[in-house]
Amino acid sequence: MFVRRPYLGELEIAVMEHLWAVEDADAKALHRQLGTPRDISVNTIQSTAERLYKKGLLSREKVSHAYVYSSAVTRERLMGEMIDNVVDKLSGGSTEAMLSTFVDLAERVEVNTLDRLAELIAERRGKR
Amino acid sequence: MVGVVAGGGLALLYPLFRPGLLTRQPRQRANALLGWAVAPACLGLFFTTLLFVPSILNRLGIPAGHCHNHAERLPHICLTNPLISGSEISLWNLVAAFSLFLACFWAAQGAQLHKLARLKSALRCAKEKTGTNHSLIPWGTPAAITVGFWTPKIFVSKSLAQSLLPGQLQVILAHEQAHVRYRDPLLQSLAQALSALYLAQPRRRLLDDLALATEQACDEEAAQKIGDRLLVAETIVAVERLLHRSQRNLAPLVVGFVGNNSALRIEALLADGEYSEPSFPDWLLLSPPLAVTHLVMPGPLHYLSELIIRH
Repeated sequence: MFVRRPYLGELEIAVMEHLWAVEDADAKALHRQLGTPRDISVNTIQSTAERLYKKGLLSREKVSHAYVYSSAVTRERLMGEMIDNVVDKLSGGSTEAMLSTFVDLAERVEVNTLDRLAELIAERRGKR
Repeated sequence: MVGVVAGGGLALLYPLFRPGLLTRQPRQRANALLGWAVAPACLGLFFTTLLFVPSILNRLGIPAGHCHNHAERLPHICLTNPLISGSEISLWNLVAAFSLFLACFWAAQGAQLHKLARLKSALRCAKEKTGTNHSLIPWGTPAAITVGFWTPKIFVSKSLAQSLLPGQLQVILAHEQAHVRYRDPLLQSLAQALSALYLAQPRRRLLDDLALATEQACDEEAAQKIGDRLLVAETIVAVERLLHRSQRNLAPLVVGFVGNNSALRIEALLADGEYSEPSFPDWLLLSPPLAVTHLVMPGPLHYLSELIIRH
């Protein structure tokens, strides 16, 4: 299934995290766990779940009069997509200089150069 | 104007100092390059502030200068009776142009900071397991990222952690912890923000040299902590190979001017940390911009000296 690359809000993440933990829940159950501590209404929780459903992140099934929601993507996949999405938006700017990566994510050393350097390192190890 | 002149002067002088700088111990080099990068903007801001000093002192009831004749001839902006003389109007225009340029530049930097905040938020949200000093994130790209200014955090992708040997992972963590200890993301951001008065090409070269110095400094720290320089070099090669094999087609995050740093870092590690002792003290690096600005605007420095001596 195609998943849009989302940037999720705090409540959306909380709903997803809860559904990954309990597998499925309806709006009232979600509200008991997430809405009451935050002092927000069932309607807010319901619309958050609907939004996630429309984004393709939740699936739903009608049970009696209520929808029961469950996650449509794994946590690993969604989080990987989220990071990809943000990193893509850093492209072309100077943001990369404001964070530190062990090796530059954008610029690759030629394979031939890598082989030459690996040989030099092995040679140096051999001399020890 | 002083900042622009200093930026131009430093850009011209940098190729002369660069060979000597590149042989220096990396952390010293990074500090010197940071000073070099921010000097023009700092001088520009300093002299702009100085334009307002006589007026502010006057409002506070403090005599504006030791020598009245000199103080009157000093170009300054009067806040009490603005825009009286022609020279003041041109000073206001200069200040306005300078402020507009910096505002535009810093607005662009602010947009980048906003993206960075989103990245940090996404990484925090995605983290699965937290070790003692790093977090694991479910990301397909084999990467270790340190992000944040005051309290930088280290995030290691699971794909990287699972692909490397335990010793290599320790190297990466030691390297990133060095970034955290020296608050390198903050310093790099300052260099980005305050190098506004250089032309694009010298600025790119200066910032690339600073990035290389910072990475090499952290490599040296990691080598010292792990006790094996070759393992650090092997880890860089291993991560480069992983990124080559990575399925993800990364959009270019940066257009490099001096090329990739990894090869230079490995070569420096193989050179057994042979760096030359500085042949001149670091503060001497800042003497060219000071000399240039004194030649361009002797009045304000003379005036400031008088003020300090008097009070």
